[in-house]
Amino acid sequence: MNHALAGMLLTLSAALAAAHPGVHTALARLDAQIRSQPDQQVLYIRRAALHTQASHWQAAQNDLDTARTLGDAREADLQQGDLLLARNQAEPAVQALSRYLTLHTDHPQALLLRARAHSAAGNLAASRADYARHLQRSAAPHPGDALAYSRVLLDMGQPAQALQVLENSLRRSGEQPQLLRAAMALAQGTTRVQLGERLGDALGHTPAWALDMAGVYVQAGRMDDARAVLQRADAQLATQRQTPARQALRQRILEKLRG
Amino acid sequence: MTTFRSLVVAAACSVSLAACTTTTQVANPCTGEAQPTERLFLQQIDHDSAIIKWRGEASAVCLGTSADALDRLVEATTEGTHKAAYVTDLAADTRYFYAVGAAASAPPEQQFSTAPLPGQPPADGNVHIWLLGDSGTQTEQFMGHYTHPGEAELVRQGFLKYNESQAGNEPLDLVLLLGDNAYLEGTDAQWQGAYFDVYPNIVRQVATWPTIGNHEMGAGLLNVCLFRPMPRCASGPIMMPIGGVSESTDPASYDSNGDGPDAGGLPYLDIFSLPSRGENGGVASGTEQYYAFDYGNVHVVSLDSQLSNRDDDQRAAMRAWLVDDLSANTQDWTIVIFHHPPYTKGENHDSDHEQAEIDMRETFAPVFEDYGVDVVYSGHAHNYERSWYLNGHYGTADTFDAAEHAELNAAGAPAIGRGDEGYQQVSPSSGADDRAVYTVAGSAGKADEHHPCEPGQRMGCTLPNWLQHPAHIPFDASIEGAQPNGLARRGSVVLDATATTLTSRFVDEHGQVLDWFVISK
Repeated sequence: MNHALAGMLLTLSAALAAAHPGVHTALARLDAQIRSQPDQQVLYIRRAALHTQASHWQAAQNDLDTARTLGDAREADLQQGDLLLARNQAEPAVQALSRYLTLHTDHPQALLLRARAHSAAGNLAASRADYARHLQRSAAPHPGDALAYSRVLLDMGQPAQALQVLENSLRRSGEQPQLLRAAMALAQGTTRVQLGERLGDALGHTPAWALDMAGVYVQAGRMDDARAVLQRADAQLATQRQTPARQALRQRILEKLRG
Repeated sequence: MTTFRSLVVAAACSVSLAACTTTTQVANPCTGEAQPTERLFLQQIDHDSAIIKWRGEASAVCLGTSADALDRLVEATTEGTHKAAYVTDLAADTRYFYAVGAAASAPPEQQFSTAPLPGQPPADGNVHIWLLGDSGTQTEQFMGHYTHPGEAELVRQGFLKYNESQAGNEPLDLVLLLGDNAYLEGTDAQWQGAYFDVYPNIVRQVATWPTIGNHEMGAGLLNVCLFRPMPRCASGPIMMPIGGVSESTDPASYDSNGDGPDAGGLPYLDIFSLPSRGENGGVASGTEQYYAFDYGNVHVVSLDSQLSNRDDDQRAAMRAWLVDDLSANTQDWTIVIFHHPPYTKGENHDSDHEQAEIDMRETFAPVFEDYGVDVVYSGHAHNYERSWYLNGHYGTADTFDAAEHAELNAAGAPAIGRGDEGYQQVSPSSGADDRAVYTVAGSAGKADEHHPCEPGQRMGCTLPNWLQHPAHIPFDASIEGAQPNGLARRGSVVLDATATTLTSRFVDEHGQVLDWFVISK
């Protein structure tokens, strides 16, 4: 490269480093790359991903069709699965992702997408298996994915197993309130009360927790406990700085106490 | 040489309490030499615990309350590529000195203060916080050349000058990173060069609390001809790898050079030990990608606008966690940090058009205002912008109505936040704690400049409404770098929290305060 060009490029550096293009500018970028390297399979797959994000379904499909001709066709199938899932074509998505998984066994993102695709296709048992594999292979599974797995099990009519999944996730990630709350919704009787009390420990027995817990106590027939926890919450709220959320919560608690 | 320390040991007795104690001499384990480290920093300093992390052969630290008489040895565990010593049973609001290895004395820069007890301000009355957005430019390169050498150091010097001349050299209590703190790809080596080597004494004395920016998430290839047409572009695009363009939601997909995922995953998560289980007072998030903690009377939340924010399931989980965390928070002040600003008209970033910014504004800003957040800090745009005291503005810039969305002064104009127009935590107009100030502070390593777009240029030039978001306060045109609603100036933010006031200052590289506001209880 000559000095003039190098100097010119250097002057662009600040602007380049500042740039974090969105979908449309990234698409323009890939257009240029593909023009210069038209045989690079990965570029078409990347562009298909961007087209999918932008809901350019046909353009995405065209890129994936091209990508299949430029290497192992299965390399395009992760993105193909994502595209099909986005278009609510769950069964074909499962097939594409399964092909990809024959090439990249236990690929975490492919397992997660196939779990969602199986679920959308109504094949809950297969979805369950993929979620299990995904979570097992993730070093630090995201709470949002564990919750989705438990919802599949619940849809299968297996609340006990769903509860077990949540308990396992709690053991890995700690007393995370969303997992505890989901577990609480599934549990019955004493277990539900115990989970509610664990949630209280995790949240510091907040007034918002008290409102939920009062409902748990009522279902367990512990009316005095329900009233006591609400009264404590009301007293807490009276001393705390007023936020819109706390004002609304206090109204709900007072209504419960009056009722 | 063997040295001893005295221990008071309770002994069984039945005669009198006085007879129940005996003094026993035990060997002091801290008698050796300090050992070298390649990287040494602090994490999760709480009122009774702290984590000391390093790279090197040493397998333990020694510490004590006197620099020349370290007397407590703590063995380290290996975490990824680092050693980590989890120190417990510390006294609150107390200064400790430490050495890596079994040394008897500590180098002068290796000391820290534990946090005050939860809910209480420190003994000096003030939590002193430094915020650094987009500071990681020391390692930023283009075509093999460093493009911003020394600029982060200038900002550091500016802060030190301010701290000496206007803040009585008060020691820092917290360092909050706003993302993009290791350009361009957030590799481990870039973290070393852009962070640990630029602030070596600070990271050994204060805990670092980061958030994930786009430049923490690796690289892709970019055609520079899209930035500025050049004669050579006629023969084809000029490609180069560049960081900050990942749109993945999966930290395991981290790619440092554009050739596919790295085996080690996201370096950020390897380097930092973050409280996913509520170890430091916040509610457990279940992930190190976002977390919360208490420090005395201050509550800090770090959200993940880069990864979790891009996935529907994960964003919903993060929002639900935020509601729980803020519902449980009773500290005097609440600070939120994340990388992508809800309100900005930066040179290359427009919060009206970029999805990450839109999601943070639409999904999270209502939670901040409903649940008592006081201040929100982001980076991403390389400038300083600071909002009015806002409530209810979740749309695009053209929907902003100062009369509806900003706290007003006696004259009916938006209040500036200082002097007679200081903000009240509980708004006099609503009677509730329902407002927040949103600050963009992404110039701790470089400041954007005006780059007019040339014909055909689509990226990397200045947007026509640069630094003109109406939700942000105006700046006096006499200030160097001033634009209508922002400052194109290098600098950082210093935040001070007492029992009754929260004061935020933008400090430039010369140590001058160019903007400030105060929220009072």
